[in-house]
Amino acid sequence: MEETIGLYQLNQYIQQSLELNFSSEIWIKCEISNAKSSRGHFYFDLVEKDPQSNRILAKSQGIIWKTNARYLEDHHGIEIDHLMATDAEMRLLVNVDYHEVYGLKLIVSDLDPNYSLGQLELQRRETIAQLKSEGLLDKNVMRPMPSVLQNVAVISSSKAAGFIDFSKELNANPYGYHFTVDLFDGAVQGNRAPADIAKALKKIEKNHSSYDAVMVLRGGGSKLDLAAFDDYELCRQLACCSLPVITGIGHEIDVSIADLVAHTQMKTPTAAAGFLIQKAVDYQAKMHEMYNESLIAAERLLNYERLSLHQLWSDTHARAVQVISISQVQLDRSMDKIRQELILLLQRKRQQWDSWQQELSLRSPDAILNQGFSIVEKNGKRVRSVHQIDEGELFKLFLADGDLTAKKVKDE
Amino acid sequence: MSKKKLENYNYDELMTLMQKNLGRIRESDVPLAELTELIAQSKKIYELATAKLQGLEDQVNTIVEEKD
Repeated sequence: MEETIGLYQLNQYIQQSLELNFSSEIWIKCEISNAKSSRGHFYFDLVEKDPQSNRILAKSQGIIWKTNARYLEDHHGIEIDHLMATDAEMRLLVNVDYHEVYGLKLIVSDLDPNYSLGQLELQRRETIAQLKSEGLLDKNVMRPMPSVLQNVAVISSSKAAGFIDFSKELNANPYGYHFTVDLFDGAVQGNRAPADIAKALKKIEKNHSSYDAVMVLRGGGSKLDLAAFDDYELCRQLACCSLPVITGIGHEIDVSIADLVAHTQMKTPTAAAGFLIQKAVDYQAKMHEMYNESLIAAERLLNYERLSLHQLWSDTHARAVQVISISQVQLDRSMDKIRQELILLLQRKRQQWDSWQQELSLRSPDAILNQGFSIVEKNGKRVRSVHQIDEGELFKLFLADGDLTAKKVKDE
Repeated sequence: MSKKKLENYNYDELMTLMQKNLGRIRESDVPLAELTELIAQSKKIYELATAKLQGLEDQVNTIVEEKD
């Protein structure tokens, strides 16, 4: 029978071999997946994939003990759980540990955040180049943006400070504008985020006529926290969204690829709320301006009509005054003429009258009597013939200076 | 002429209608009766838009006469 050893002994040999070959810690590069935490300790898989096929080439279990996790967080200014949630390749300092019962574990004692960031940046550039080549960087910006965004679908986390800031800013708008915000709650960081956001986008697309825009909101964080917004698939879906997408991700210095494919990029969730308010303010101001312009134009038109009417009245009045004036002159002239004619007529009549009067006075009985004539009357009747008076008969003689009774003696 | 409810207009359509009215008012040959009508409609559009922004559009009488 060949030599046979117990499993424990075999594992002890393995342990000794490993200790002999890995007496000191060693830097490795790999990705982290299936991360879990328990009582402050972090357990995960370390994986290396084939860059071309993405096939897993190697896989080991990794651990960051609680005490070391705290040290790493303080030392590098990172949060380990956030780091675990990224798909970025990492550079880790590990201690190869082998236990007879629990097998091989890689105990992480340190990490190189700059390496991960470098890897992320590399990946980010590739993603941007791919989106650009597919025409997706400018796709969403072509979507028409309504003048007012009053009904918005918000993709964020209800517990995230970013969404709380956004809601606070929107509700505190001093103009009393009303906004309807439908929150599609999900993870906005870590490797779960792209899937959650994609799921939310699908739901929104089914009911897209109810919304004016989609908003993707997340407060500030480290570059690793925001790495989810550089995910190719997520950005592709945002670019292809049928509604305009507005992002408010991170702080002012952060520009994610989601920002690049979005229709409008705002620096923060608060600024995104300000954007909605400002659009409403601009719209109302524009409407007010147009209404005022309408009033001014109408006033101008009325003034013009009033002026025309006044001008017409002035012209008519002036013409009437002119006509009246001319008529007055003509009337005055006619009156003068009539007056003069009348005077002449009167004068002529007077002269005629005077002539008649003179003639009459010359022919009056008194004038005739003064000329030496006398009037003969018998018994009150005028005597025109000598035969009317008999001889010896009395008759009356009227002379210029008196009358007398005479007696007919004989006819001559 | 047909009756149409302005409340069925979205913000951009309201603005387009307001612009259309303004354009017509700016023309010099608008009869006074039409001018009065246009101003009344523009006032209503502005009031409705403001009310909509504040979520109070139900409080505005939005029936107006509009040309087909």
